[in-house]
Amino acid sequence: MLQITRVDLSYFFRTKWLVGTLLGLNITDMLVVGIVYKGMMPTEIEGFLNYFQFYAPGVIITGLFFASFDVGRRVHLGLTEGVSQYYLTLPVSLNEVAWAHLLSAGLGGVIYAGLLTMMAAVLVPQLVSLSTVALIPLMFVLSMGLAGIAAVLNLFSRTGDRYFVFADGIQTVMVSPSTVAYPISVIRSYFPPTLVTVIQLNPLSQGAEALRAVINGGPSSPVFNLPSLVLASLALLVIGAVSYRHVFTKLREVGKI
Amino acid sequence: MREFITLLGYELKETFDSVPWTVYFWFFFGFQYFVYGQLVSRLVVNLSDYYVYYGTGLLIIMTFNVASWSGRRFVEGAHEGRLRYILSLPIRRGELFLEQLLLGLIANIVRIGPPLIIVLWLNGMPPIVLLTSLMVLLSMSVGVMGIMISLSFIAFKSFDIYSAIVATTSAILLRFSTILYPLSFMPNAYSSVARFNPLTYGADLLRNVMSIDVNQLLNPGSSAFIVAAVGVSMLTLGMAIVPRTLEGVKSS
Repeated sequence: MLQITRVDLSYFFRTKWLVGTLLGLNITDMLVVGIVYKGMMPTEIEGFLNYFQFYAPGVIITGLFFASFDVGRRVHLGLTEGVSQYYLTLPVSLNEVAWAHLLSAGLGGVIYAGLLTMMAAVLVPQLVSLSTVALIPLMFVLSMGLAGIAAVLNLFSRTGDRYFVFADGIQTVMVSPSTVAYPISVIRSYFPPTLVTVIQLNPLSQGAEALRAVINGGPSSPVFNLPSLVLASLALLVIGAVSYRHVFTKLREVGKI
Repeated sequence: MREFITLLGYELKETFDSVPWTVYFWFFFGFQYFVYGQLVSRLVVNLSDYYVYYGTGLLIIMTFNVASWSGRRFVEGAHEGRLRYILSLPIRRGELFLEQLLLGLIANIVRIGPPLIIVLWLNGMPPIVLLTSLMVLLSMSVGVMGIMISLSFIAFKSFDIYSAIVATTSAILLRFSTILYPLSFMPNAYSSVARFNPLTYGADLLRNVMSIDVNQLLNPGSSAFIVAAVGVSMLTLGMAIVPRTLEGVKSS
């Protein structure tokens, strides 16, 4: 199982166009959009010195999401190009194949987010702290949970381009309505209370607020809720594991999804 | 001419067979305009009516995405051997290039048209602005498609590296421009780079034709000249590079 995890993880980091896209997007988001918006927005945003300090954790969590979500693309290609069929011939159980992919997604997300955190730490030194290190297990669980959404997509998108359309759609739906780029007070001024609750429970909001709590030196965020983050991530992880088990069971029995 | 129309019809059908992508472009616009744009514009305090500014920037982003998608699709087709078949058809290289250009423009109009109408309608702009805005957006898309196709010589060495370069270049071009923020708010180092970016001139030209009152928009005359010059030069470069490259194309 760990061999499959290693191969899958290395495939992510060896895909030059993907890493180029992610780094290009995230670094320019942080160092260009974040810095320019800083001059266009109020000097203080919910206890943060400026917009850049507020936005950098959001970009890190978005990077973690995109990196972990990529497992869906790898599985989709694996299913269409026969790599998954090969895995099923190995002496590993269906559960192990499913968990190997979720594990590699979790590791990919955490490693990639770690790289972004190191870059952000140059301008936000508060990120260099033991609290950030303590967050790693939490980010790992979050990363694996977010990969569960990709697993559900793998279950429902069988052919051609459809997976990629749905994946882009899900990414848009997850990132825009979250506190990644704007504080909850702004969201409250636009959305009805029910939707505000949904946005607060969005795992990306929770992840970004967890990192913001590190910068602020404590859990002062009105949104951050540790049990909510852990429970949502674990629930998504279980859904992902069940989905992948179903995908690989069907592949073994029918020969296709 | 008959071959030209037949090929165009065939490729249009193939392009719009992928309904989910077209719907996705509109879906992306809806979320970005009505969620992200609305929320971010409430945070921007140093620029009046940022929502209108953001809306026009979003149109440029979408034009860029659709045009680069068209350009990349052409290069991908070449790389995967599909173009070798098309090259074997009784159609001249010039006509083929024109057909690809027309295909890209039609794909652009279909995907950008509805968002453009929504932005103009919500901001109470007169119908004539639709025509001028569409002209600006299409001129820009010609330039972007030209850039993507001109970079195709990299794709024939490694499509992976081509995709990485295109993706990184796209992110840099979009961020270092006036698409999301005016030059006056950028640090000097960024605004110097943005002044060399054709998207800066395209974005400001679009705002000029929409009569959006933002201080320090670049001169519309020089913006129009640069947008047209980039379009023509990229087209010429593409016409020069593509036939030479394509004749020696190896499929993957």
